[in-house]
Order: sequence, then structure tokens, then C-alpha cells
Amino acid sequence: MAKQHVSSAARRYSRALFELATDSGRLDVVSEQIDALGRLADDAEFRSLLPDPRVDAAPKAKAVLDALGSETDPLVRGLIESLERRKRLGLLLEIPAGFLEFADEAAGRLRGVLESSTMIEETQVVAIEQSLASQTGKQVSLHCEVVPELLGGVRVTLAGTRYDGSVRGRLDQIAQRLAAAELG
Amino acid sequence: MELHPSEVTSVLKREIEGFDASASTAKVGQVLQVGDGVARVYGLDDCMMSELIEFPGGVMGMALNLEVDNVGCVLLGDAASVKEGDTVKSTGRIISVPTGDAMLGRVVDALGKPLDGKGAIATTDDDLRPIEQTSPTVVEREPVAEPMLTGIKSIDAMIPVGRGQRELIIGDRQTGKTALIIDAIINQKNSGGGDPSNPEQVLCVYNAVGQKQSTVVDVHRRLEEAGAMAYTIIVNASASEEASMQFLSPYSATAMAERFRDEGRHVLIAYDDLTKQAYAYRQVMLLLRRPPGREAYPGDVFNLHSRLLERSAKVAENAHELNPQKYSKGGGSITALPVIETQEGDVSAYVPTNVISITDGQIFLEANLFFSGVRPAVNVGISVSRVGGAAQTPAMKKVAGGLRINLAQFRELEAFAQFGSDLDAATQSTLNRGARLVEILKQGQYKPLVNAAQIVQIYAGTSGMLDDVAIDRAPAFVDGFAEYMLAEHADVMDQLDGWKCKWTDELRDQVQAACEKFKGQFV
Repeated sequence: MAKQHVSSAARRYSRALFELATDSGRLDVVSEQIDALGRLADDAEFRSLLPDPRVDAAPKAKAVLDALGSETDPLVRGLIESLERRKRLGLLLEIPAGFLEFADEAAGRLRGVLESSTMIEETQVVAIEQSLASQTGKQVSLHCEVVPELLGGVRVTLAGTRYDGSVRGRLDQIAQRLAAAELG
Repeated sequence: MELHPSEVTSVLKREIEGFDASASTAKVGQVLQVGDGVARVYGLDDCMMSELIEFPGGVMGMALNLEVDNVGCVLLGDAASVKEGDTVKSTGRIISVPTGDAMLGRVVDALGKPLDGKGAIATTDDDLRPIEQTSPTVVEREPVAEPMLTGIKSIDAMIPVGRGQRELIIGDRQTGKTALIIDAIINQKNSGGGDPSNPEQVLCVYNAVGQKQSTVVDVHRRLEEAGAMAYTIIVNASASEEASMQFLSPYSATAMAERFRDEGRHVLIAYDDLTKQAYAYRQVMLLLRRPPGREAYPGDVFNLHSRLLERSAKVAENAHELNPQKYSKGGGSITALPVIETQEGDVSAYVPTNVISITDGQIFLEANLFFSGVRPAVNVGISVSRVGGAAQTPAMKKVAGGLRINLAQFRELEAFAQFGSDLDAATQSTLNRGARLVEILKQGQYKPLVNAAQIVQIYAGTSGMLDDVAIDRAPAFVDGFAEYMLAEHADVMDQLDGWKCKWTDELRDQVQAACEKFKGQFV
């Protein structure tokens, strides 16, 4: 799972919500509810419903609010109503990722992906996170994925940089070196 | 090259032993959309302008649009293996091409890869030069003062080109623009005997942009037959290649020429043609959503050509003292012959006017002259060389001095020719003289002439020796006369070929006497 692309429109809404949540001191509550919204976005039906132009904004907004439950924070409610007014409810699919980016930046946290060929132990993941944290000066949190074709070792993608220590990566390097080798 | 199997194994063993097994680090991004030779990439935060980006499948791309949340890349190769979601890596390198003596005699693409099936080109990483370079500064330049002989009478006599000049060749389709260039390249054989290691030899680069493959094959064959490929590089980006390669190839070709220029050599580079480069650039920029301007070209289409042509210059003799990092030897030059194709002779269209204002003169080729038999179809009246006499040998300057005026007067009076014998003697003689001059300026393809031969032929015309020769026999007369001079008076011809040779009375008398003698023999 690579970093999700957040469009500039969704980014603006995320930033607005994040700043309001921080200023009003309700960041934790809002973060939780935005997380819930993110999980909602994983549902295939919602994913196809929200951007669909054939359905009116009002029933979409109602569906989202119903799914979130009755204790929706006023800020989140305000976001949904604002999107409904502008008929941009499709952006709800990207706003959780955008919000998370702002939250991470404010907390000095970097999120990345760790790919390994087999399941890797928790202690090893923590060790890698700590090593990267000392390099970048921020808190590092890695999401783990199993990618068998790496054959061995790990590959970490963090903040636009890929650190490739996998066997696959080294084999590719050797292949390039051999292909470029000068004969005679 | 014969390879022993054990040699290959030993090379591979060496590579594997020397392999440094540490983790590699790369900046990465993700493809958002790809299509029509253009890809948008998310991420790549530290991407530089014109940086090379590596796509899956070994395809390279060039970053051209650095936007807030994505990078627009143009793909330099087949996009079939690239899909949305693919991870791409930045290489940290600006796009570069191989240069150097090993490139001479080869046909390469816009990235310097060989296309002629003669194997890999022996260049090293030190031979790589970025395709975009700043042009020589004001102090690093010198005024143009040496001739760049094209071997074509109408050009060398009346619209002379000098080393370091940019002379535009402009005309409609099928008017002989490429033919002029081929003849000019073939003529450079006389500068150094066709041997590229001779420092006097002018090296040539022919850049074919958007042309038919069959045309380029034909050009290659002609140059090989004439022995000109030994000192020529052909950089080919034909019509079926990606627009990105077509618009980059003139810059790659110039980078190859600059390598020689900065080593003190003289280079002749021809861009055939810049109109197709502008089309390719427009295509790429429209796909990258840059705002279209006049005729849908992007706003910087002028800069596209000006920054290319400004790199063709005459470098000062002491440039290596002023800037030792750039120049290993001063005094080199690049002479550019860019080609622009006009539609229906419209030279006031957007791209033609742009390039006319950039170059140091233009050679107009007209379709109606071509079809009336005047080939090369140069319209001498409106063609200009802004360097002029400084690019001619003193002898040629003297002999051809009156040629332009004579032809201009002839053209003015041509309408009266139908009156025949009803004209006064002066008008009649101008018409007679002019008609013969037009005849002797016609020249066959692939037959460039040395400077001395041109001088004696033009002298025969301007001195009046042809006035009583039949008009249709005039070309045969002057051709025969040049051959006669080479056979019987080789010493005079050698003298005339010299760059500092002045047209003394003595020389004139010698040529005059020889001409009279030849005329006596001419049937």
C-alpha cells in the first residue's frame, strides 16, 4: 500500500478540518471519527456511491451520517454538510488520508511501508523504525507487507525515499552491472 | 571482434567480485496517469527540471512539469510497459548523450544509441555531456571571419556563410533544402581530405527531425558514396518516433557538436528541420497541459529555437585561457544550417519569423524558380547573409562583387525581354549578361565545387567572356573551363584556393588569357 494520492481539493478540506480541530482542542475526537470515515471508505458500496453523479448529494450525506452514528462531532458534521452543499461528497474518500498527513506532520511522525519476503518479527520492525527515526529525526511508524518476490531482506519506502536492502534489489543491481560490463 | 568464452567469464567474475553489497537508496514516486507518451507521477519531491526518471521496463522519462503535487514526465521510449500505480525512481542525472570521436561515421538516435547496426559505440562516462548547455558568453566569442565553403556557387558567391554563423535555409516543401545541406557536407571533404583526425577537417553533424526513414537512409547512402560519412554524425529522430525524441534530438546533436567545438575543431551542423521540432514540442506541451499560445504553440517556442541556435558560435582563440574548464582549446566553431519549411511561401508565419530573427541570414528557396529550371532555386534578391564579405576569400569577394547587382538588374529588365531587338544596346547587353549568369549559377546535385573553380567560372561570366557563347552552352563552357584550369594551370588554381589569396591584376590576366585560349578550343 503506497501513499494514497490526495487531490489538491481534498487537501484543502483536510487542512481546514485539521486546523479547526487543533484550535478547538478536539483533535483526538475528530481524528477518531475521521478514522471511522476512512474505514467506511474501504467499503466497496460507499466507494462507488459517493462520487456517483447520478445520485443527489442529500441522500449521500444522510447515508454517511447514518453510518457514522449519532455522536458525530459538530466539526465532522459541518464538513459533511459543506461537502453536500458543494456536491463534492466524493472527496470524502480522500479526506481521511489527507487529514492523516496533516496530523502526522504536526506530530512529527512519518509513515512508511516495510516490505519483506516473509512475516517479520515485531522486535525487528521496531528496531528498523528506531534506526530510521534517528536518521530522519522524526517518529517513524511502518506498515508491514509481505512481498514474496523480494526473496529475502527488507525494502522500506518512507517519505518519498526507498531503502532497498532486499535480495531482489541486489540481484537487480548485479544484473545492471553485468549488462553494462565492458568486454575486452 | 572475436571473444573467447573465458574472457567473458573473467569479466563477469570481476564484476561480481567487485560488487558492493550495500542497500541502495533512491527517491521514488508513483504513476498517476500515463498515455500519449506522457506520464504524471506523484511523489518525487526533490525532482530536478529535465531530470531523468526511470520507469518500469527500462523506459526512461524526462521531468518537464514540476507542479505542486505531481511531476509531468515525457517518456523517452515505448510506454507499453508503464501502468498506473507503477513505482518510478529518479536517477539524479540530467539527460545526457555520449560525445566524442567514436561517434563519427555513425547513425544514432536522440539519446546517442546506435541505429546503423554497426555495434556499440566506444564511449565512456566521461564522454557524456548534458544536452542542454549555456551558450558561449560574449567574451568567449569572436566575430565570424573565416569562410565555411558550401561548394554551391550561388551561396559562396553572393550569400557567403562563415564559420560560426547561423544561416537559415527556408522554403516550401520539395525545393531542395536537404540537397543544399548534403552538398555542403560533401564539400567539407576538401577542408581536410576527409580524414577526421586532420585538425583542418571540418566535422559535420546532420540532424534529421521528423523525416521519413527512407529519406535518411538515402542521405546516409549518398554521404557514404561520397566518402563524407567518415567525418559526419547522423542524429536521427524520424517521423514514427515519439515526439519527445523528435524535440530533443537537435539538442543532442548540438551537444555532440559542442564537444568538438570546445576542443578547437570546426563543425558544420544542419537541423533538418526545425519546423518538425516545433510541431513535436507543441504536441508534448499540449499533452502536458501547458497553456497554448499563437497557433497553439507554447509560449516558449521562441526560446526553444533561440537557446539551440545560440550554441552555434565562433569561439575566441584565447577561450581556453578565459574558461579552462569548458574549453580545452580555443578557436573552434559551430556553423549552423537550420531548415524551416514554409507553407505556400509564407515567411511571415509564426515559427518562420521567429527563426529568421534568430539567425544571421537566410537562404530563400522558391518553388517557381525550381520548376523553371533554376536549381539550386535560390532567390538571390531576398536571400541575405548578415556576415557577408567577411566570410569570403578576398579573391572571391572581388570577382563576385558585381554579381548580385548584375542579377538584380537582369531581374528588373526581364519583363522587357519579350521586346527582343526593339531595345537599346545597354538594356540588351544587361539582359544577355544576366541570362548567362543565371545559367552558370545553376548546379547539379552532389557536385560541390572548390573555391578556385567557382572563382574562375564566375569570372568567365562577369568579365563578359560568355557574352558571345550561346546561352544553353554557357554551363558546359564554364564546367569545361574549370576542368581546363585544373589540368593546365594547377598552380594558379592552388593559389586561388588559398584563404588569403587576393585577386591581383597578375592573376586576373592569367585567368583571362587561359579563358581566351579555352574559348578558342571550345566547340
